[in-house]
Amino acid sequence: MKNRILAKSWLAPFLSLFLLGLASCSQQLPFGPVNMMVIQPVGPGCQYEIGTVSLQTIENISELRGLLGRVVSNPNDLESDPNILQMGLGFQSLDLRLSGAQNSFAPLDKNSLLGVSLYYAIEKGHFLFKNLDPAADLLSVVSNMKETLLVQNAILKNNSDAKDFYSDNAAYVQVPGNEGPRNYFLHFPNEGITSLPLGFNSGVLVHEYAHMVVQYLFHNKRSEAGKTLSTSSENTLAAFEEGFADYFAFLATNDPGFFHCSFPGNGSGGRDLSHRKTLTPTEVTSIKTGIDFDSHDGGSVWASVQYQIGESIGHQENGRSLIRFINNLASCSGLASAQASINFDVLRNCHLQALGSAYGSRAQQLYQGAFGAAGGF
Amino acid sequence: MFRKLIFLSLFWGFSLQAKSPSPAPVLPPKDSSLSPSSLDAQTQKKISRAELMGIGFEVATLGVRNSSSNDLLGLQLLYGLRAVFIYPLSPKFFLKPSVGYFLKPEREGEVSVTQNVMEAGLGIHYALLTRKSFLWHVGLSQRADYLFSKISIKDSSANTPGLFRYRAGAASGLRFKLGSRADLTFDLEVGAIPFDNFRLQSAFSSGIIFFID
Repeated sequence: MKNRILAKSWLAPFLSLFLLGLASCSQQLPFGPVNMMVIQPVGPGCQYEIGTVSLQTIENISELRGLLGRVVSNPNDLESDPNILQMGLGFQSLDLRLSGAQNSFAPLDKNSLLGVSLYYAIEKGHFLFKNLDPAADLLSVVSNMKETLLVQNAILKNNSDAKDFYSDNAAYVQVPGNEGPRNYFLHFPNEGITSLPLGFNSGVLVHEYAHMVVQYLFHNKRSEAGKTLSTSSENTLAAFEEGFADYFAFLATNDPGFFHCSFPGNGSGGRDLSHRKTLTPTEVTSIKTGIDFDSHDGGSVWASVQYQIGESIGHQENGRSLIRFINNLASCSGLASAQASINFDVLRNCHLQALGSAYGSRAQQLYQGAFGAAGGF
Repeated sequence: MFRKLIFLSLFWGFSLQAKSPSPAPVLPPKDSSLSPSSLDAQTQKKISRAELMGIGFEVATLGVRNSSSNDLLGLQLLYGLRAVFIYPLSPKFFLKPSVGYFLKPEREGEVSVTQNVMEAGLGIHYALLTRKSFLWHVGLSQRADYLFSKISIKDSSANTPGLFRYRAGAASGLRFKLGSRADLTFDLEVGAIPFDNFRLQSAFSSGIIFFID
């Protein structure tokens, strides 16, 4: 008898727990802007902290999908099948594990933290450009922006024969598709980075977003003739583009050494914008010939010039001038209508036009000091 | 009280055996069921291992279904400890409340995320197969979890908001006799998390139960 009574008293909490569980079935993750706990940069010297940010363009947090695209993964080599990149097939939503309620969430595992970090950084880049100049608001420029895919831990071979895959890198890629170009941000797996992995380095991802801005505000405006350039011209444009992207990554993080947060041993200030640099004769030769050319070398010089201009006239002002510059570069350089030759002199003059006469002389001096000595013009 | 009487009678039976083992009966008793040895057998039969109250400690692993981040067979594994209590309801049924703590540390460069899961569970089990030194039981298990993670980068760290979660499912377990007062246990449960799109979650645990009754 006593046992029966005890059994009943134990069954009550068993059933209560069951009913509580049934009640939880009705909870759903919300659609719309959410607050999210992420790792965010807070200043120079690779200072990062954990804080809550507002992801304003998110439409569906459980699928990590929003106005700027969707974070996905793909277990296959992205070039193993043309359908993958050209048609955007085979991508999977991340299996997110989030805690929180209503409109405030936090990632519970590393994979989820990485996913929300990727979206957060791309959104950070978007608002940086949009707030500096509405002309750089890609949501009003790119018709299929929502179809942009942010591929987490993308698998891509180094080359067709290699067995090794890209790692410790990130990229922006535009792939021609049957229904227009498709845009991808690729985050490659972390292999050897023991400091800040690239997926958590907002500067690196804003750098990639800046490449997309250059693609739409400049490259898409180049005429067919303007796309057939000499090696020297193409290399100059590639170097300038890397510097442009680095400068906006700095603006997003307020850290001129953002790159070295992930690659601390990479030279003494090699990509640190606050270190003054000049184009060397060797770099000039590699730009002209294409031999041992690395676009990041010339790019770091260009970025350091922008940093100095920004220090002189204000970084916001210089950021705005650079958006005007990139928006007009195709017509300014003659690439909108016909084949042209591009060198740093052309780029400088186009930027000076965008800057206006008020700041031109100081900027001209800085350009001259960085590029002029080695014959970069 | 009832259980104490059983144990007293069992003890009494053993005592009788110890005191008068040698003289063999001249004639078989008319009613063999009244002999001390058969009484002993009867009481032993009544007290199966499912009827013993016990407390146990187990090492355990939780496997949470996750297609993006899996350690084994599509499951993300967390490791931890459980304390369980066995409360018999009847010769075949027993309750199994438990508490547990699990964690999963993950690190990539200077970034680390450590998941923490604290669970409180209550299962009801049925002794499907009972042998002298073996018990196979099946049942229903339901648990309430409290989850949070600690995210760290360099010298900065923060705990995420906590999340309460409910899961329920089927459970089964084996118990092997280690001695008169202890069993070795192996338990497996498979359940779903209704709140999380019925995400599959499994758990495997193994440990020792000590009988306290």
